[in-house]
Amino acid sequence: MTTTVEADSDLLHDTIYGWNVLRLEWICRALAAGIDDDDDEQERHRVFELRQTLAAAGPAAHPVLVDPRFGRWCAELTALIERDAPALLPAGRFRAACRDAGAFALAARFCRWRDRGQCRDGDPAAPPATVVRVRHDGRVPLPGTGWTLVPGIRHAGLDLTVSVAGDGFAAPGLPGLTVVAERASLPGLVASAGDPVDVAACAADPLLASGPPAVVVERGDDGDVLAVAAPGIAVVRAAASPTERAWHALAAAAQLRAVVQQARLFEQGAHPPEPAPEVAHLADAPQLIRLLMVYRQAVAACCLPDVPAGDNAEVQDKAGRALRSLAGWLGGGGQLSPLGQDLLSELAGHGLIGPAPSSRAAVSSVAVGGALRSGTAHADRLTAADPQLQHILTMLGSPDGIVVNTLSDGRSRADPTIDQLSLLRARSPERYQALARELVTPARCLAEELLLCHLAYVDERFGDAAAGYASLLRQLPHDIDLWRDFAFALRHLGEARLSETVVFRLGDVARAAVQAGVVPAGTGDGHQPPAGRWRTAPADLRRIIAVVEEVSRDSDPR
Amino acid sequence: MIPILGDLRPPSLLSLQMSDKLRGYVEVRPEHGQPVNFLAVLSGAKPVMDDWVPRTQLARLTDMCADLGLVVLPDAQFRALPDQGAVSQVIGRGTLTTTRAYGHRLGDDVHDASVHVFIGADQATVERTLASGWYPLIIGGRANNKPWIDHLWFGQGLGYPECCLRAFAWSNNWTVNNMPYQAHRAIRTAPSMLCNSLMRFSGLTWAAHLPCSYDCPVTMSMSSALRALTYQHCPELAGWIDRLARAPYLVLNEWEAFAFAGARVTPGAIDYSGVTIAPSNRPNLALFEALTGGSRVELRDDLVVVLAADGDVLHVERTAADGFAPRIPFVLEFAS
Repeated sequence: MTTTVEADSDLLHDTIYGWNVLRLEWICRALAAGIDDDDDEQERHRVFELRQTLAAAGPAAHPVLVDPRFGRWCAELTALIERDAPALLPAGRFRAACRDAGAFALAARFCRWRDRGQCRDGDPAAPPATVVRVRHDGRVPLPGTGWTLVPGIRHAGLDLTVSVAGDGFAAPGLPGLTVVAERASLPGLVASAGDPVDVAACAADPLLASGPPAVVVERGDDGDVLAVAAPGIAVVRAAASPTERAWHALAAAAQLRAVVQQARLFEQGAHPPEPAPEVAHLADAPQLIRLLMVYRQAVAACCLPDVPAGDNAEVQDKAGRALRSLAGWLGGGGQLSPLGQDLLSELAGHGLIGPAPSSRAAVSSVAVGGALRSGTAHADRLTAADPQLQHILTMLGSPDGIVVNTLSDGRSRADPTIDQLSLLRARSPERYQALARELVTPARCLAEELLLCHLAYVDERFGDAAAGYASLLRQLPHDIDLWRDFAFALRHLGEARLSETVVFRLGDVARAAVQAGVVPAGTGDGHQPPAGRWRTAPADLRRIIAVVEEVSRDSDPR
Repeated sequence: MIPILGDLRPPSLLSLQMSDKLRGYVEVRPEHGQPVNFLAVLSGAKPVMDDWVPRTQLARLTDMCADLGLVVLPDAQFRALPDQGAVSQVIGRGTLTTTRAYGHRLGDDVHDASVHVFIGADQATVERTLASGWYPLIIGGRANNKPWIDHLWFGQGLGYPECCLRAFAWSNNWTVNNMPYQAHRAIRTAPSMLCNSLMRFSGLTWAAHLPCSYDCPVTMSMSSALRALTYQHCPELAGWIDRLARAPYLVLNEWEAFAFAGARVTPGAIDYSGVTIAPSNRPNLALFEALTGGSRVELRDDLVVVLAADGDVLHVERTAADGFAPRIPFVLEFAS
């Protein structure tokens, strides 16, 4: 049995306040950045990789990254809270953020001290000294105080112990510490126009104005910390039940999204609103916060050891309703992260909510095949035919299905599954084998068919892989990822010339195959039959090879 | 790719005394790039190496290798970008690696291109390594990458230790990780110069690969044999490599590393009299310039602080680990 308490240590509050402001800064920057497709692809990949790394980090913690866009930041906060998490890079921006958090902590202490009217020298209740680390330029701006400490560039990167003294600051190790009256802008908080945003403007922001948020620390009977929740992050002990983990993650997700919404509103207040598809769907922030409060109450009530039976049913019902509302919101906007999808499934599995909503905006596998066979439409992704396969796609970085990549899409690659399968095989052969056993032949859908091709490639069965890719290319002749995978399978089969033709004339072969694809299958499809080893190959492979041969014979217009 | 700059800059290869076998190779490839790997292949210590030669030199290289019992198989042609950073129009530019080049077919007549070749003693092994040895090239305005598993097979073809390939699978991800830093973290004893591959873009290292740790026993064993071989074929070259491999280094990532001469290392700091920058296509020339004017460098968390002899701060370099090619400063002092 666990109990839930409010942690109210000054240091914790100050630090979390600092982190909160930093997160706001980060989110504002992310929203203003205007991520293009390529970067977004990189960002998704980066976050996915982080998740994989963290998942493999061991049993010390179960880090929950609640939103792909903000996952990295969450991971860094996770590392701060749960220092045992290995494999994270403990330097760079993370160190800089720790440094900034120290400055925020000192600033918050000073502000509270000043606001309480307790600025008297020698007051026995004066806040304890705070260690801050000096910035690269030898300064320590203290947002919200109107002051900047200037120990000088010689102290860049070094620790400084600073006390609040009288109406200013003192550093025992540095008697000549210069403190200048300087309105400190939030470090790195840059508006879209590129101008620093000052603290006065931030005061209008409800997040900053509301003070430090409560931090829920869950402890076991022995007093050990079991879980820490802060906006956007839930770190839950590895042994926690799926439901327990899911609840914490939901709370963190809701709170993070509320912060995002507030950041957005703040940004809109300072600048003309711009369309932001990433967050445009977000529900009303106050409503979310209310939901979150209900959720917290529900969790707290459920955790109480001595709730009477009658009340318990009511509390459970209330908790269930709160969870359903949150789940509905989480799943409602087409923005659900892979983890969010998992959480909904978990909640559904425990009967806490209805079945998880099916994948959104995706073309079903049946529709894909049918549409392409009739030559009337292009599919944008291959989705899973059942939940088990959906789980595999999620694990391989394609929760919404495997995206079909075309020349006009402006992406170098859209299907990450072959690389993820490769990494899985290299890093964890047992998990790779287990996953391979879950795929069945004949494939239940195109997504599974593609995964089987990739498995053949990764298992060095290049003939099978080439035949499989060719079969898929008959249905998805415009998919350039497929073409390249096919080319590399040919390369391993020693077919350098054919492979080279596909790689160097990707557009030509894709166009030729699209044209060939609308011709009914058979001998009269207008292509010469291929020579040599391909004469006895499966029909689809023969046809695709014939297309490549034909392009190869054409002169290259470049 | 810049050459080695600084006071540990080695002499021209052609000016050194060496065995005829090595000279045959160096006359085709006079750069420092791969002579040590060539010796490794020649001796059978390494199954296959890859290299880049001007198309006009391909026949000569093939003949020279055939005389030594080696097979040369060519792949695509590379035409280096005039400005290695100018890839803003390339689709998938984030996936390009250290050498950025346009790809051309072997049969294309391209000015200033190099042919990617694979050299080894056994035809089948060379063919297999070539199949997995595709290099990410820009073709039709797009980065063209092989499936990730090919990297692993390629490493196996080149004879890299399995432990280092496993580490590569875990850590060699430029979007979130920093392989030299992970190799530094993985040290269990003391960093060995035999595992120092920080100058590998120059070819002047005993380890050609990214080691799993800077005290990897398998790498040390392989490098030790290669070092003895190089001392037989070209003692002067071996001496230069030793000098570069033994120096203390400041490392930020695979692009940014600096070797120090006349150095005294203390925790988190190096006092020095000379500095050399490791070749890379993204060298940090501003930091190099600051280091050249300084005599002490200190690491303070994510800050690299360069100080003059009188203690004045000359430069403060901020590093960041949250973007592509994360930068994490650390110091390596290699034992012989």
